[in-house]
Amino acid sequence: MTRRRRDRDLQEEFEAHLRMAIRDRMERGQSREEARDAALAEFGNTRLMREVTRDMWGWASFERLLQDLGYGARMLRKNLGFTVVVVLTLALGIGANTAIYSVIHAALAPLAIPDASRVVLVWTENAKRDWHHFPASVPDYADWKNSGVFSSLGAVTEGGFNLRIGDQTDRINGLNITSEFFAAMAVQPRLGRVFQVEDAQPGHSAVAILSDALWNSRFGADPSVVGTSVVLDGVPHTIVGVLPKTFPKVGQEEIYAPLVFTAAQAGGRSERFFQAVGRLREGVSFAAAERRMAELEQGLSKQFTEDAGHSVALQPIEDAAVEDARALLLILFGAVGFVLLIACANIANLLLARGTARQREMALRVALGARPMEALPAVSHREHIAGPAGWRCRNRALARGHSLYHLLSPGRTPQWRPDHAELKCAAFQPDPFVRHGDPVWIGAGVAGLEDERERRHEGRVAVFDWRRTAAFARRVCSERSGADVGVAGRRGSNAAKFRANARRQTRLRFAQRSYRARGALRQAVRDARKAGRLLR
Amino acid sequence: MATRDRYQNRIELLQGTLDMLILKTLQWGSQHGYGIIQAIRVSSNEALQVETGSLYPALHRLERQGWLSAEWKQTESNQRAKYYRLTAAGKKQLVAEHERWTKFSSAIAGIMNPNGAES
Repeated sequence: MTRRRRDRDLQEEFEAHLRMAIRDRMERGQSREEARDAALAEFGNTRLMREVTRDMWGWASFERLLQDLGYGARMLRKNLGFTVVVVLTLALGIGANTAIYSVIHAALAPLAIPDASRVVLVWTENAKRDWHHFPASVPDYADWKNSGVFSSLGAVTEGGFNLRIGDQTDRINGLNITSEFFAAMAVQPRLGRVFQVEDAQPGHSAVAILSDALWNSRFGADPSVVGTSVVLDGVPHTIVGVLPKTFPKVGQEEIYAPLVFTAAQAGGRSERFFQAVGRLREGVSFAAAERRMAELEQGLSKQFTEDAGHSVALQPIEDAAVEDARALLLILFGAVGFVLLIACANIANLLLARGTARQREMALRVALGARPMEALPAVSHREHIAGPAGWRCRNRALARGHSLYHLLSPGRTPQWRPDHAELKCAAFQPDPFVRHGDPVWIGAGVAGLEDERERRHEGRVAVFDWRRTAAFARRVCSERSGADVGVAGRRGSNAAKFRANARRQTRLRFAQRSYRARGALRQAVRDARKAGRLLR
Repeated sequence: MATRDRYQNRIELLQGTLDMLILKTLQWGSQHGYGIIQAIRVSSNEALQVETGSLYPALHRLERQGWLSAEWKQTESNQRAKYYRLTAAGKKQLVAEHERWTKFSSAIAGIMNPNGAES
């Protein structure tokens, strides 16, 4: 059964009870009016009963959470300035973190190539000449290929192309690569094919492969683009394939063309101009590969004067991808982490400052019958949704001298709703510096209630000496006036003892704490007396 | 005032006995909330007046525990009312609570009447 239906059900149950009670009394000779009043009085405070009964359904805490969240949301709306500051602070902190994190995630994410840890860059080193990560020459490349370390070893040069589509020409970045490059990367094209050995043959090299980005931006992601012709550097090239979106990039390249070595390049051992990328052969570990390449290079450096003093370095491609960025990214991440931390600290400070303003609210909650544990979550939940203290409006109203806390929505007092504030509620305004004999108790009915019986007590105020409160409460109880009663008193006073007693007897709600506002209290008493609503 | 006097003569219910009284009252058939109050009042010779504010929370609690089931029915005077009925688990609970109460009351009686004088 839904909560709403259950509520209605309970309401009907109460009504049925009252009908039967009234009928019984009328059968015993009472007038309809008398019977109804007596039955209502005997029945008790329906709102309170409804609340207590609801607690039995076992979802009270959830309901309270909802109330607290709703309350927090309303407070946020009421304190727009505070809300905006908090939201902006958090937005800045969280936004910066998210941005940097997404960069890090992208940068440090594994490359989208199968078994990426086996793909390495091969560099030439020369300690004596202080060469570090130098490119390769064609004869070196051929020797490395024959070393048996790599299942495939490709050559890559970065370059640019003039891409002409229609009458528009653009400069775009591209790579010239040998067919082994794709074999080393072991990536399947999205469309068409990758380069083959034949593409490096003279006369067959006018082919190109598009990156996913270029295919999307210039070719409208048209799948029929494969096999069509595109003009690169004034020469028509046939598009043979399109790479997948996830294909890792060396730089900003958007197009790939075959790398064909010229005779001069192929002959010169000191013509170092390209990058070698290889996939380690199955069964060859990285360490073993390094060893074998070192041996090989040692032989070469003795054999050829151009290679004298050279050695070889293998670098996993994943390292190369983040090489310099790693430290930078981690520093950035740390920095934005601190930004968030500072944002949180600032908000905590703000809330702390507001917390001072909320002391009154807390006291009031407790005074209105919230058990301490009931009052607390309301605070924290509100903070959870970055809720402002929001008591300001109420305090301002008070400061304007209206002096009464507008209050008492019977039965729902723990979550005192600000939108009840406009109800013309009589109120209680207890005082911590109460002296014996001071009027410290005011029971109050509330205007604007649906319940007819409760409406009869609209605006009634009761004031009496705290030493006589037991008698009073009993009277309230026996008359079942429907008034909620606030009790004030110093801690440890007889009031506490009385409260326990009276709570048992009346099940009314009692204050445990109190406020300064004696003037307001006296005013309320005077007003009530003048209006003839004083209940003594 | 008559009502006032009756109020004075009432005995306050001992903590925890309300559930037992409700279960006992429902032993002979289903009854609605008003009827339960009347039944307890009559069978206690007007000594026990169960407050509605205690009764309904108790009824809902017992229902939730599965000792009672509830359904809307017509009363004899042709009005709609929510009738509570004892479930099988409720019957067991009644037996258990009754036993406990018997032990408790005889123990108290033993203390209050040490000479064995039956009260």
